[in-house]
Amino acid sequence: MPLDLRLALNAVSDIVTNRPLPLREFDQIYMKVGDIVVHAEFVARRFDKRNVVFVGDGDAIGLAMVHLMNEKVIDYGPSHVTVLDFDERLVNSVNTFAADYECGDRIQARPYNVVDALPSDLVGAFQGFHINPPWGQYNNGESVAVFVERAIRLTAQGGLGVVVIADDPTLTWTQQVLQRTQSLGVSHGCVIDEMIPAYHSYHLDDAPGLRSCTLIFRKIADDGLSNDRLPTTRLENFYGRGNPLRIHYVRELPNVSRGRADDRTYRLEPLSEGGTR
Amino acid sequence: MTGIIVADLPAIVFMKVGRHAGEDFAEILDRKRAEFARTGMIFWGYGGGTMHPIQRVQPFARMKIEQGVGLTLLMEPIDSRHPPTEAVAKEYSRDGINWQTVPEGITVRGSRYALVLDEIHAGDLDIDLAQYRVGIGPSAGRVASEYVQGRVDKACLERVEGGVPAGESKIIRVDHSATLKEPYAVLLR
Repeated sequence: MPLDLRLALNAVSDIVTNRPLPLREFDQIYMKVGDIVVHAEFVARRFDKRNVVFVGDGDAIGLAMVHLMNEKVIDYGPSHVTVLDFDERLVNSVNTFAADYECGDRIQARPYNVVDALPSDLVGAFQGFHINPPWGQYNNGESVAVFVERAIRLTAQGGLGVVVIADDPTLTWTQQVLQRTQSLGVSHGCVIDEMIPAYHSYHLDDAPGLRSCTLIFRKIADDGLSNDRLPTTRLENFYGRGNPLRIHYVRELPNVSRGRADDRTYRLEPLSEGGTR
Repeated sequence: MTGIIVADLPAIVFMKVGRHAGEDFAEILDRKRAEFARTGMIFWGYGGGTMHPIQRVQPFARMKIEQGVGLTLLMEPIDSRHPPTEAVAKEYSRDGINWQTVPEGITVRGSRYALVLDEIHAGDLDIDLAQYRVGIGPSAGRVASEYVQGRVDKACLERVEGGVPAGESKIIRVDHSATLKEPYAVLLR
């Protein structure tokens, strides 16, 4: 079934409109629409008929896949998506969207921060994972390692794992983190199933040419990982130099204006008497 | 700025400056100098996606302070057409968690971030951007003369040892400077 670009872009526009604004403090930098369409369609093919988990999903790739399926733009994709994220705004936006579009049987989001042990009911419960973690420039890839370990622990043997991280051969740190990530996956029961180098771009203001790769693991053996709360030593420089992980959750403030323009950003000026003359 | 030479500036914040939020650069300077006289510091507003206070400026400044190096803002004047705005910041935060009222006597218009400065000094200075590299972030190590172009009009830069290859110099005339002071940069709202 060829991809109808107009339908795909319209469906992903729904997703982009629904996303909460990114918090740059936590490296929330969103993909643009074109990149989301390409990546979501690609991942949907790899995750076809699988029950998968996203550990963090600011880009809303999980919701994009489900919406593309729900709108019949694609006829393949995961059987179910669970989204775990520390940003309650994102969790609520996914669940509300799923309810509005009546696809809540295919996707569910719940709050979780990688600093905590995984909920016991989720360990080993999935046939695939997807992560796009902070890229680890200033912590030797430790932030990537944390997400990889949690995601592998969530996944059963035979599962596929998609990792999106920086990949620029001209930037040494990206290659060092990529090498460590590949080694880490292999040491925890995975093989490298596929890799697409320099696959997408985040169009960063301060690194417009920086690309990221799609690395896919396949879990073939026991991971040997524990499921404990992370020690603080692993949280240093998590979001960049001098920026450790110190926020447990981003909580959404209650509001009734979801989907409406923030009325603190404009005022309505009534037409004056006789203004139509 | 008499007395400051390039060799004394191993770490800089480089920024193109001009008309902003309905004020000419000269008007902004006068207002900021008056604010310094009243409060002993200056909030220099800015925006864009290349110098986030928490992600870029603060850690870069702390790293340089630990190395025993000060951090100086260098301003290159340009013609700019920033639209006027009535939006004025009411609060600032150094960490995004705790917010405080902007000190009385300081006004920042139409900016979501601000550098925290000591006194602003006037005086011409030529710097060679080819002598500097991006000091922090995903483009760390990039040559400043190639990095600062197009939409990128500001950067945290560090000077590297060694000469500049012939033909690669990019001399920039800077006419105002100021030392950054703790907390170096803040978020505004």
